[in-house]
Amino acid sequence: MNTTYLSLEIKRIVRSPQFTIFTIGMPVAMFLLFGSIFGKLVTPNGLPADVQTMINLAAYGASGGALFTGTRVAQERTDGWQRQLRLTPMRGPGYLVVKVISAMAVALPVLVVVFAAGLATGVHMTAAQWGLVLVSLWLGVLPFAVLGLAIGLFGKGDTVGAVTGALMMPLGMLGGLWIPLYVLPDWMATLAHFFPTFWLGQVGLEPLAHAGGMGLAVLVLAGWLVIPALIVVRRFRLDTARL
Amino acid sequence: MEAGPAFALHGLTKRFGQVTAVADVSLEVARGEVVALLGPNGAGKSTTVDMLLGLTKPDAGEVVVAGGSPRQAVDRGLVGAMMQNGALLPDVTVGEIVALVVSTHAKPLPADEVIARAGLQNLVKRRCGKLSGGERQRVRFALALAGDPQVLVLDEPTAAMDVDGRRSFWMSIREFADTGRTVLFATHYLAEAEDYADRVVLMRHGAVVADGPVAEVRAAVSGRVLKAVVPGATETDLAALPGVTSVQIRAGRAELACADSDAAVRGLLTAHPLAADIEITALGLEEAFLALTADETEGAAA
Repeated sequence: MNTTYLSLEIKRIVRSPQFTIFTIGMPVAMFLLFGSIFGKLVTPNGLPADVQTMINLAAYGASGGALFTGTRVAQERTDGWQRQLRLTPMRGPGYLVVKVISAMAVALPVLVVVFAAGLATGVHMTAAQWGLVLVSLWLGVLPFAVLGLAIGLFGKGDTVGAVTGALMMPLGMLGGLWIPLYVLPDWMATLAHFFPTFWLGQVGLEPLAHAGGMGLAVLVLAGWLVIPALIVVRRFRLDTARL
Repeated sequence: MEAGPAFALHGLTKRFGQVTAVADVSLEVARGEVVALLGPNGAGKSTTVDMLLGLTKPDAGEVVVAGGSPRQAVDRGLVGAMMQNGALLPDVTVGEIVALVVSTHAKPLPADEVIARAGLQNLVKRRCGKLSGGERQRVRFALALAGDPQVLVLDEPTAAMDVDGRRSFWMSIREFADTGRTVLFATHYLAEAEDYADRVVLMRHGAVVADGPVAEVRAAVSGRVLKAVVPGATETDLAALPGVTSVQIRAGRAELACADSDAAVRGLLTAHPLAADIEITALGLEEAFLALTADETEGAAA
């Protein structure tokens, strides 16, 4: 893999205002708000509400950041950057891998910052739990990076930006990451199962709740990874044939 | 370095639906040649360049670049290209984008040398989105140089440059060509073809209509133009004169394209003693170009 490209790509994401304001700023602000509302209430799965709120909003921020890879890809596609790259020895797969890994790389600081906000406001977990939740959530973000890529290979830059932005609301709200599902009507809790964000939340909570749902959550997220990946491969082949 | 031509196109054809953009184009360019590819818009220049670079697949024919396929040549950094409106990353600095493209090549030119050859020393920290049109062209040129290519392909390279920019740009190209590299550039600035190319290839309707040294292409549309005020003469009268190939009367002034201007001027004065204001000029490449692509222009106007 081209590490020069990867580090440049990470630098580009981190220095964009979008990253600081939306990807990091939003979930932190929402955590501080919701965290103070739900406080230390004990939730139906036995966890303190602040732990759950922190995990959910960390998942929301990181998955949203990863999804936004698609906007960048769509923009570069519209501008002709991918065509420019075809005049270099870099191949299409190399480009896609850089995009996915850079999305994963910037998801980590998002998680860390939300966790730091949690720590600062008195969220309590053991050291092992902090580590385990962090790693689980981080790996769980992978499907979102690939999903973003799949969306990004279809529209133009600004359209994809708008679509991704519009998707983040149902993904966060209906996936149960904004407001805990136990305070929402049953049908909404059922509906949540159709959103990958719900399963990402499960992957983050399971190391604490031990409700036996880890296997299923991983399986569903694997589905959300494989299907977009197939779309990406197919679409990218057609795209390079046409461009 | 391998023997053989820098690149060769054999019977290239490309259709887009009903339109044949490139029709049976063959072209062989020797190492070290600087070739201008001329032609009006829609002549098939860009499509030909795209096929040369492997960006477009020909419907028929073959492209050989440095002994291999275009993709192989790109992979080995043997061919570098500067595309019209080639994309840059607006949020990335000149230094970063050059380093990035350099990093994709196995045997690149050092980034410092690329920057220096393209004259970008003062712009290294500038973001690409903040560059002027001419500056962006220089960055595209830098990216084309990154792989230390043997063949450099430039599509309308000086389009966004001012006069000074153009001059210094061509100096950089010349320096590069003098190290034994091959350069193919598509342009509609005829002066650039006259001044900087060893050889001119003219395209029209997707086909090569003239190919040779600048002087030879000019001679291919042979002859000169005789202009005069000829009272009472019709176009038919003038066309009958010896040595005249075509006639146009514009604003009372006759323009005679001549294969033999000496015979024409003698004939003109014999038949029309009142002819005045006689002027005979050699065809520049511009006129040669217009003559060769004449029916294209008329077709477009019709």
